[in-house]
Amino acid sequence: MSGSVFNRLVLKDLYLVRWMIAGALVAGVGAVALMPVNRVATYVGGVSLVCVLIVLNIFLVMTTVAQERKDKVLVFILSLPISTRQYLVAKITANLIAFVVPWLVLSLLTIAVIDRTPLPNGVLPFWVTLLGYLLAYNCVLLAIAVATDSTGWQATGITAGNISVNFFIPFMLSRPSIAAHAEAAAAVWTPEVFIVLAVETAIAIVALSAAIAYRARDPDLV
Amino acid sequence: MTEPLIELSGVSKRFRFFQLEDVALRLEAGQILGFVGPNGAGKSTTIRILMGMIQADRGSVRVLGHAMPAEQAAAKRDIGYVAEDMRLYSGTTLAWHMDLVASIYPGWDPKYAELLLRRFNLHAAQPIKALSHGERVKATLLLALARRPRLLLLDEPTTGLDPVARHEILGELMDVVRDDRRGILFSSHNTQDVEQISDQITFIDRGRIIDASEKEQFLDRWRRLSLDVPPGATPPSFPGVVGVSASGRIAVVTTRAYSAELEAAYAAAGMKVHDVQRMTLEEIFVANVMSNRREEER
Amino acid sequence: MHSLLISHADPRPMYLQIMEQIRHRIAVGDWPAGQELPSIRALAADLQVSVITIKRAYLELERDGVIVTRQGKGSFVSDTADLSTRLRRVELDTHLDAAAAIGRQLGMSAEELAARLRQILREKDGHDR
Repeated sequence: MSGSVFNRLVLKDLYLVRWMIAGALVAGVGAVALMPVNRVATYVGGVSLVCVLIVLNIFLVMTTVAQERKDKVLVFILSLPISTRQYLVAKITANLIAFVVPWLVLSLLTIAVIDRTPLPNGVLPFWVTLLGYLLAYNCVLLAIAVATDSTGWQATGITAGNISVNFFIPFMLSRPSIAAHAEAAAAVWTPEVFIVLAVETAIAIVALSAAIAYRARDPDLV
Repeated sequence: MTEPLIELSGVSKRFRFFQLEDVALRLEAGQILGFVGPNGAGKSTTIRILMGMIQADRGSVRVLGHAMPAEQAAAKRDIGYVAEDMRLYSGTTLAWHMDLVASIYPGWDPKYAELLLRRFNLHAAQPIKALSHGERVKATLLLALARRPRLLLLDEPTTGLDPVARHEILGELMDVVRDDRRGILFSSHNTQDVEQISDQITFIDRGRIIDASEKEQFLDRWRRLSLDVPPGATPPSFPGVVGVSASGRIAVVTTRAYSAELEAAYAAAGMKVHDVQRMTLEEIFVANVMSNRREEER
Repeated sequence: MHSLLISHADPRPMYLQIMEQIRHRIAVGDWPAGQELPSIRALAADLQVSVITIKRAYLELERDGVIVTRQGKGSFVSDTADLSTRLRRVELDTHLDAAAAIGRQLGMSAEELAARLRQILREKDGHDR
């Protein structure tokens, strides 16, 4: 019984953001399609792809979490037969699905494009860590929005996240293991790359678990 | 003897600028309880505690036999909640919400929902954005009523509604208690509605319950007595008297414990009772709150 | 159906209005002896008046012998209902007769007597229950 309420809530959230998902896919595919055209296009396409994922992230979180609270629709949802904890988990699940589906499609597409076109495969590890970074960033922003009602903290998270991407990209590109092989035709997967991916995964999981634990402790969502 | 639908006792909750203190409530099956208090008295907070949306600092909260908020998911399966500040998704329609609720609750009665749409003069295809205040209240009420929940918790269901809408809603609420296993708790400062349909009435002010009784008891026991008094004399405050005001040769005494003995007592004190008036629930409410506040200030 | 009516403009308590109207229905013969009354909850819902008020009206009517409640079956107009009404009307006329006589002895006019009766009714209304 409550399993079906949970599903209904997740589906409800996905329904409400369906256009965002569609829009992100369209824009993202366009960005990836640009990349093999020429050097400038690679840059533009790459930056656009990152922007699409960041914007999708922000819109999703703001719509499903913060707006719901602000609009007092939260009271209606909480009047349904669910516990606070179920509500939080459903919210996170819906958000993750809404982000991960386009993210996965675009990631696979990016990898496929890099692999199948003249673009150097050596840049693959960089892209994989960058895409992983964007996923981790999504989880952290989601965690912040779930844990606190404060728009101040959410804004801080968005700003800090955005700025951090600007540091992450040059940082990764300057890593010797990446820089050395960036133009190469074949991808080189060094341990460093896997460490970065592992850290990104850990951050994502820890942030979300902490947010649920923190919020479920104090059941007064309203 | 069936279990009460609501059983609250010793509930306290502290907020920064307000606190609920030692609140107790009891609603038996088949009854309607009117929860009356000024704005800011704690009505909405208490109802949220009943819904498990707020956790009390102290006290016991049992709704439909479930401890709240621990068992809130189970309890809410059979509770319909409507609050004045509850909103629906503005990017959708009423039909979307009806589908959502119908998919979650097996008790949803589509025929009754259709009937309510007609009675409340609503259209399922209406976008939520376009609803007026009254229509929104009726829409959220429809979503709650069409599921036929055992318990209805209504926070100011008729506030801000026109008389026709109020009449329709009161009609639907009374329909609920045709079934003696169901019950309603509704908060209001519209004392006319409360006086009309409530079986039990509880008064709350500044976070405390100040009185709770059967409606007929309230209407029976509160009276205003007009006394003929010697000039300048003040009528004594016998037990149960909450207010005395005298001017010249006339004095008005408000009492919460009227009896024939009281009239006799005044007669014995040389003050003739020349008129005894019943009080409306509104007058009782105001007198009760005022006298309680005076007591607290002492 | 029953077409009982509650007036909010009427200052008298709701349960008294209901009692009076039920008595009246019985007096004019619409509800003969043995007729089943609407169930308390059904009447409450129809009149949009609290269940407890209807219960009280039925209780008082039963105390006065006008109706009879059978556990689990409902309430019915008692067989002696109109009989007792007729008897009580006789009783009333007897009292009024005596009052008129005393009034005349005191030199009261018809208006003064009527005013006195109204005052007593007001006081009694406050007195009762």
